[in-house]
Amino acid sequence: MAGYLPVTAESRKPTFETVVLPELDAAYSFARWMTGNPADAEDVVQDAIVRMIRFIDAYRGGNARAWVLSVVRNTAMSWLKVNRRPGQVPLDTDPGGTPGPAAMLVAHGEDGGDPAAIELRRSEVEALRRAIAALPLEQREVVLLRDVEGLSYRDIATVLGIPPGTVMSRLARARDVLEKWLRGPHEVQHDA
Amino acid sequence: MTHDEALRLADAYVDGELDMASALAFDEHAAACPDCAARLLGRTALIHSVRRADLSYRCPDVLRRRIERDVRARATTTRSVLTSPLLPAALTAGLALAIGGFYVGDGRARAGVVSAEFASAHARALLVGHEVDVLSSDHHVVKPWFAGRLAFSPPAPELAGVGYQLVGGRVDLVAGRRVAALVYRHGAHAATVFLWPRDSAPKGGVRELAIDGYRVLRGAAGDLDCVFVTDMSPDEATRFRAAWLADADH
Repeated sequence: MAGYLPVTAESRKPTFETVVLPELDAAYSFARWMTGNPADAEDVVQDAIVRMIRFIDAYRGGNARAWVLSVVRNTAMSWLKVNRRPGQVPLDTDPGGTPGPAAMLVAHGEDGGDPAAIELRRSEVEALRRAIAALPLEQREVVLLRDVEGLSYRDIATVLGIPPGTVMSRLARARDVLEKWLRGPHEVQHDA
Repeated sequence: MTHDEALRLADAYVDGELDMASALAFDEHAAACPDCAARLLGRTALIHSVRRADLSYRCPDVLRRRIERDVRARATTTRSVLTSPLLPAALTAGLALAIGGFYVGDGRARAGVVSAEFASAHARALLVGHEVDVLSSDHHVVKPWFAGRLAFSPPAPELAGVGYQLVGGRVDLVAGRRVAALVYRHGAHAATVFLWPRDSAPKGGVRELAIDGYRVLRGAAGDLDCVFVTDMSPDEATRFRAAWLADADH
């Protein structure tokens, strides 16, 4: 499909299929967290996909997820500018949504089937979800990129267009808030 | 390491983002500082909770299928345009329009026309699947092949190391002259480097321009003039030319 040359020289040039498709979950998840609901997340992802098809040549190697998420983030920011007042992001009205594999694991047995433990874990997950959704956007995106998507400080700095030092300080502030929030109203026990 | 520094660097420490020396200094401080030790514990627990909770969402299947279908449709469109029997005519018309639009009244219009001929030669060769007569990524094969067919000897740099795969070469006829054509591949993109002796170049030379998605660039290697035609991005095309010329000089 890629390459209309009949000669099948080995191709190392990144294509949309090899760079973007494997990161669709990350793209959708990040968009969902940025916009706060599934319908808007779909719009943002579709928009971002169109941009990525057009600008795949601008991808210069490196972390594909970081590149994809930077396009998703730019798209989401433009989207938010048009559709939202700055800083205002509603809580996801459907927090269960499409849970990731580990969330399923949590719900179905990591705690050995003990209903009390499962319930505790469920409420902890819910508390975390709400705490992160309540963070200001600039802190929320750093936590998501680091602790959910697993990007390095350097990649986060690239995605957000800020210095790595700022990544570190925003992350520290965000985690301070989350720790307090989790200890505060919910008294969640970290049993591990 | 001071306490304030340690506080500032605690997250980078937990995330494994500190260099070895700073991490050791942090360890040393935290071993003697209950506050920092507590902070480390709190952070580790929080990060563990977030990971265990897996707060990511999966892309809904409907959306994934729609995107994959769009991508496939795009690929099919590209292929059908490339194999359409009307393309040569369309391309020529497009070229004529582009040149007409840009160069009417320009005294150097001729240079634009020659550029368009090169772009057309590049596109035509790809279109009919006859881009090379000698298929080899080895310049020891490609260079001698030209020897019996042209009055000059073009360089044939191998640039696979920097991402441009030499596919092979052919002899083409452009602007009424026999020229050497070297074909390179860069992922889904192709480039043709045309070469001819400078003293046989047509009047006005070749213009650098973009036509129908192709970029035409010029260069010089020894006593040969070169013309680069490619569908790469402008930056990539410039990089390719620089890499090619650097190697051709050897």
